[in-house]
Parts: sequence; structure tokens; C-alpha cells
Amino acid sequence: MPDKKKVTGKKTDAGRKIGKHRSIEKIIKKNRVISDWLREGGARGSRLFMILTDKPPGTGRKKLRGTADAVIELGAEILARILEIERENKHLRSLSLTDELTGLYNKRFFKIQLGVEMARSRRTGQSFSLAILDFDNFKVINDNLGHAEGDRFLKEVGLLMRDRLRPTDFLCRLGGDEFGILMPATGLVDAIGIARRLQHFITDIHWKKCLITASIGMVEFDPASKADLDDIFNLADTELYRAKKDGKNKIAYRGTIERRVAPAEPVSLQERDLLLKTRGGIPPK
Amino acid sequence: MKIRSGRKVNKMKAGKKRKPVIVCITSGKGGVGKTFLAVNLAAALAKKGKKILVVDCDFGLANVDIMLGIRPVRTMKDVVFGDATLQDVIISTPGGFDLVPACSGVRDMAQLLYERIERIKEMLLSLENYDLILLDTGAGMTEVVLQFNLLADRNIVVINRELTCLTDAYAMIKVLFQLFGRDAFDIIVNSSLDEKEGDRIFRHLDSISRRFLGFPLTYLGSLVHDENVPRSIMNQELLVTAAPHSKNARSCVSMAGVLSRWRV
Repeated sequence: MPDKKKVTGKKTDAGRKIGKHRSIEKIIKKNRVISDWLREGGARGSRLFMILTDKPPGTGRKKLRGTADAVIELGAEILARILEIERENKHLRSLSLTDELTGLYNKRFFKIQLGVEMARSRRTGQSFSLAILDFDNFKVINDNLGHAEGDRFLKEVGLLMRDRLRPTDFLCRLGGDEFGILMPATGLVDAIGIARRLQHFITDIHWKKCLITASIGMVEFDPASKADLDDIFNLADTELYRAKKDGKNKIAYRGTIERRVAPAEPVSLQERDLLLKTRGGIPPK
Repeated sequence: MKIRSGRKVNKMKAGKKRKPVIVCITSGKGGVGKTFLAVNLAAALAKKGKKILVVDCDFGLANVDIMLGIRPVRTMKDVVFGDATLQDVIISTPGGFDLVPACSGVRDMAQLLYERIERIKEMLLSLENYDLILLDTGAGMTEVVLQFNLLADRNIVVINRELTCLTDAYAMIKVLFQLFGRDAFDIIVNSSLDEKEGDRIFRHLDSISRRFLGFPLTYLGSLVHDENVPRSIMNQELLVTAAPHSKNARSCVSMAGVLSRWRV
């Protein structure tokens, strides 16, 4: 491990700061090097910032040394191989969790995240909501305009729907024209509001003169329930089926509709005193 | 592909259909004069040639029909529990405006479920061909009252010179601000001794709102204490038609002028 004090003349842990890493990002990209955090064992459990490089000594290297805990030099061939594997891994990871057509998350991710949210909900005691959205007459687009047009519709509308959700919500394409929305830390009342907004947006779409509507099935997860991942998913699916049976373009939900607990503070004594000082409209002196 | 946001739809439809401005009249305390103001403002607006709908939102204890001396057959009850639409129960009134009457003495109506309120709200939002819809809410801070306040584009808060009324109105404003982020309220001071006092009461409430909530209130005007008002209510008449030259009737007309300029 290099003694960074000698090289940079700065604090030892300067390299751990994110800002520093950003500044060397360009060098790393340009010089074909790999950098990563390495979890160091031992009682301290500290982490090391590693850089693998084949770059011969030079100006860039000096900067690298100043920012990493360790700079390991490798032969160009080995490094190229490692880089290739890294790139493949990254690609595979993204493939397995995103939907190819729309670029949204896929069903796999949806189920993983659902599991995460259930665990979080049970731990914090805060419920979350789940919605499954299905276009009512998507078949019309496919039949009349062709499958390519149908795909284009799913892609564009999918991304537009994502824009209309909050940054913390997850929109996933579950397959076909079915989408899943996961709303962490959101009660049913708020979730219905969001779903309704989405539904209004969809009804306003005129896709080549085709009028589109959507049915939504919703369920709120109760942290006290013992339901498992599939139970909660099936519940939402059942609600969606009910919405469809109810005449489409509907929102069906299960769960207790309860107003969120008022976060409003009561009128304080200070406010009260000030309000009451005008007896019969005469302000105090 | 056309994506039309709500606002654009209004502009596009401006030629044919218009989206009404929804105004909610509330106060917190009862007996402050919400219903009296609602019907008289509506009548004054109707005289100006505006198409006005008054909705009696006090579902458990209806008042508007009584104040107007009319006897509705179908009421909001038929919309909530029956299969009637709002269009079916709308009736025209002597004041020249339309009314959705509520029913009296139905306990279930006073404690409407969230989904029922949502249904009424959706029907209200889909109404067209009105310039302005006045929602006359009941007293108290019930779910129904809060929901209709939330639905409206503008919120009018009626206060009078009583201390209890002042604190109730302030509590209402505070809750609407903290729960739903409402920060624009129009204040009407009712039954003040004179205009100066009305002004003073408003400025007092306004200063407290500025200080604790961080936003100013808007002053719509005041009505002074006048025997014509209880007389008109007793006779089931509208003040603006029964005593058009009284001070309060003129105030109603000038406030109606402000309301008529409101846009969504």
C-alpha cells in the first residue's frame, strides 16, 4: 500500500471522498483501468479503494496513487480480459432486471422489490401500496395498427407513465400490456389518487385515433399481515380482474380506506392568545 | 400522439364547453352565514347573467332549500344511495341559479364514506356549462367538509365578530394548509358593526396567518349587522331581491363581481 502522504501531501483518507473519485473518473476511463471498493476483513472491517491498471508510470499514475488505497499493476492482456468480463456482467445484470422493449423494470425486478418493500414495511410498520395496471383495449391497437405500432405505444406510454409517478415509485412492465406500480410508504388513499391521475392521463391519449383506457387493481399491504409475496401479488391481480369485470376503465382496490393521520399541528396556545386578544374587533394596545 | 393535460383541454374546449370555477364556502363554526352568503352571492351572480350552480354540501342537515322556500323531491340522497346522477336532481330556483339540494335527517349521509365522496367529486368535476359552482359546506371539520374544500379551486372562509368563530375559522385554515397545502383563502366578514370593524377583524386574522402560517389572506368584503338579513331569511326570500338597495345587498353584488372574474 502506497504511502499517500508522500505522494500527494494530503490527508490519508482524502482518497475515500467521493468528490475525489469523480475527479479521477476521467483518467480511469481513458486509461483502461478498473477501480472498485475492496472490503477488507479484520476487526476494523474497513474498506479499501483499489485500482487495477496497466498504465506505465506517468502523470496519470501519480494522480491515481493519490486517490486510491492501492494501485495494482497488471499485464495489459489480463486487464483487458478482466475489463471484458466486467462489461459482460454489467450487461447481464441490466438484462435480467429491465424490460427489453420499454427499458422499464421487469417482472423479476418487481418481485424482488416487492419482497424488499414487504420486509421494510414489516420492520417500520408503515404500509405500502401495490397497483397492477392493464390497458383495456390494447388489442385494438395491435389488431388495427399492427404489432410494431403496439410495441411503440407500450414504449412511449410506459415512459410517460413513469414521468407521472413520484421519483420513489417503481413502474415495471410485467408482460404484455400489464404494468405494476409499487408505491413505497404510501397508504391506499394516496395510492388511489396517484392511480386516478394515471388513469386520467391514459384516457387523454389519442393514439392514432384509438381511445385507450386502463383498469387498475390495487392493494395496500398491511405490515401486520402474514401474507407472502405471491399472496399480495395475487390480491392485486384479483382486484384488477374485478375492475375489468366492473366495466373497465375502473379502479378496484382492497384494503382499509382510512384518511392518513392528520400531520397538522393543533392551533397553539400562542396563536390562540393572539386570536382572542381582539375582543369585539378591538385590537389590544 | 396527443397528450393533453387538463389545462390544455380547457383551452381547447373553451369555444364549446367551459369548465366551471368551483368555489367552496366554509367557516368552521356554524351559524355564521355560509348558506345566506351562498344563495345571495349566487343570485347576484345570476343577475349578472352567469350560469351558477349551488351545491348543498351539508348532507345531513340541508338548509339551502329551506332558505329559498323550495321543496325538492329528489336530493343528493338519490345520487349517493340511488342511481340518479347530479343532472337528475338539479333544480332551478327563484334566484335564477340552479341547486343540488341535500336531504335532512339522514345520518348515513353525514358520515359519507370516502368512496362516495369521491363519486360525488367526480360528478361535480364533469359538470359543464356552468360558470361557477358554489359548494355550501356544513359546520365542523368533518371529512365531507375537508374533501369539498380540497376539491374547490377557491376557498371562501366566512367569519363574524365572535371570538369562537375567529378561532374556528383559523383552525380550519390551518388544517387545510397543513393537510393539503392550501394557501389561498378569501375571507368574508359577516355581521360586523360597520365596515371599519369588518376591515379590522380581517386584518387581525390576516396578521396571524402571515405570522404563523406564512401566507396572507384575501379580503372579499364584509356584511354589516342589519335587520333586513334575518327578515329575508324568515320570509324565505333572497336579500338581493327583497331589499336590493340595502347596504348588504349592494355588498353581495360587489363581491359577486369579484367572484365573476375568477378563473380556473
